[in-house]
Amino acid sequence: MFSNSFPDRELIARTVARMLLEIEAVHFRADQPYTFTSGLASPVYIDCRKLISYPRVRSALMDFAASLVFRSVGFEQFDVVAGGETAGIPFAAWLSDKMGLPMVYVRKKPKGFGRNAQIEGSLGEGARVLLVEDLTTDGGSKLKFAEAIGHAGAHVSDTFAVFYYDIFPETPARLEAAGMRLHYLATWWDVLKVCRDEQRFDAATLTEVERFLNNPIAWSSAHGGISELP
Amino acid sequence: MLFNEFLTGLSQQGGSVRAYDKCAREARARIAGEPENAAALHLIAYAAQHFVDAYDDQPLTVEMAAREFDYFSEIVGILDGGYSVGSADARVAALNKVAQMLASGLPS
Repeated sequence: MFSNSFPDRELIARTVARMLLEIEAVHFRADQPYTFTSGLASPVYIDCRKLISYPRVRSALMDFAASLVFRSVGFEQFDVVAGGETAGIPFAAWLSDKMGLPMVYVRKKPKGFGRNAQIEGSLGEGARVLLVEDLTTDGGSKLKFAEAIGHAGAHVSDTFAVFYYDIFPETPARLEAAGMRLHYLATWWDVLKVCRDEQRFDAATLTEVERFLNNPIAWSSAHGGISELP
Repeated sequence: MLFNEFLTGLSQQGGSVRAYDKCAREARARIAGEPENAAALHLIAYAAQHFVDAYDDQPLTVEMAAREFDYFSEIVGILDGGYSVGSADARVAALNKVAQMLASGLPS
C-alpha cells in the first residue's frame, strides 16, 4: 500500500528525472532525430518501459504517483484504475495496488473477433476511472482510451502519466475539454534541468534539446519531420 | 494511378505511425466499394498495419521512417504498375510479387 508520505512536487520531479537518467531511459540524439507517432521529428526519446525492470525505482515512483493523485484529487474519488495498452498496464497494476483499487486495462482497439472486447476486467456502470499510461505527449491516446471507457458506461475524470513531454501548451486544455485532468511526475524540463545541474551530456546537445523544447514544430520542420501538427 | 493517393497522405504526414494507421483504415474502407481492387487494397492495408504494429510504442528514427517509406512506395508502385496494364496476368503477377515481399519481411 501507499506509504502515506507527501513529498514536495518539485522534489518528486527532480527525483524522477534523476531516476530516469540513472536507468538510461533518456536518449538525446540531435544528429539522427526520432519521429513521434504524429510525425514530429525530435532529438529526445524516453523509454519509460525500462522502469518495469527496476523494482526500487518503480516502487518509489508509484508512491509518488499515489501521493500526487490523492493530494490533487482526493482519497475516495476513484472506483477503478485503468491501464492503457501496452505500456500503461504495469503502471496501472502497481498504482491500483498502492491506491487499494481494482484495475482494468483498455486495448487500443477491440480485438475484432470473439467477444470483441476492448476493456478487460470488471468495469461497473458509472465507475469513476483513473486512466494510467507511461507517457503523455499530445494526449491523443488518452482521448481514445477515455472514449472506449465511456462507451462501456464508465467515466475518466483524471489521467496519470509517469512522464509528460510538456512541449504542446494546448495538451492539458485538450484533455480538460474531454473532461480529464492530467497528472504527471516529471517533464522534459525537469530532465533538462537535472542534466544541466549535474553536467550530464555535452552543452551543445543540451542546447539543441532546449531549442526543440521551446519550439518543437520549427525544430521538426528543420530536421525532416512535419511542419504542422495534423 | 489507382493507389498513389496513399503515398501522398503518408508523405504529407511525415511517414508517421498515425499516418500509416490512417492509410490502413482508408485502404480497408475502399475494399467494399472497389471489389475489383480488393486484393491489392488488402495488401496495402496489411503493409501499413504492419508498420503501425512495428513502431507504435517503439523508437523510430527519421532515417528509418524514410527507409520504410521507400519500401512502402515500392509496394504501391508495383501494384499500380500491374493494375495499370489492364490484364489479369499483370495484376496477379503484381499481387504475387508484393505478397512475396511482405512474406519475406519488411526492412528494419
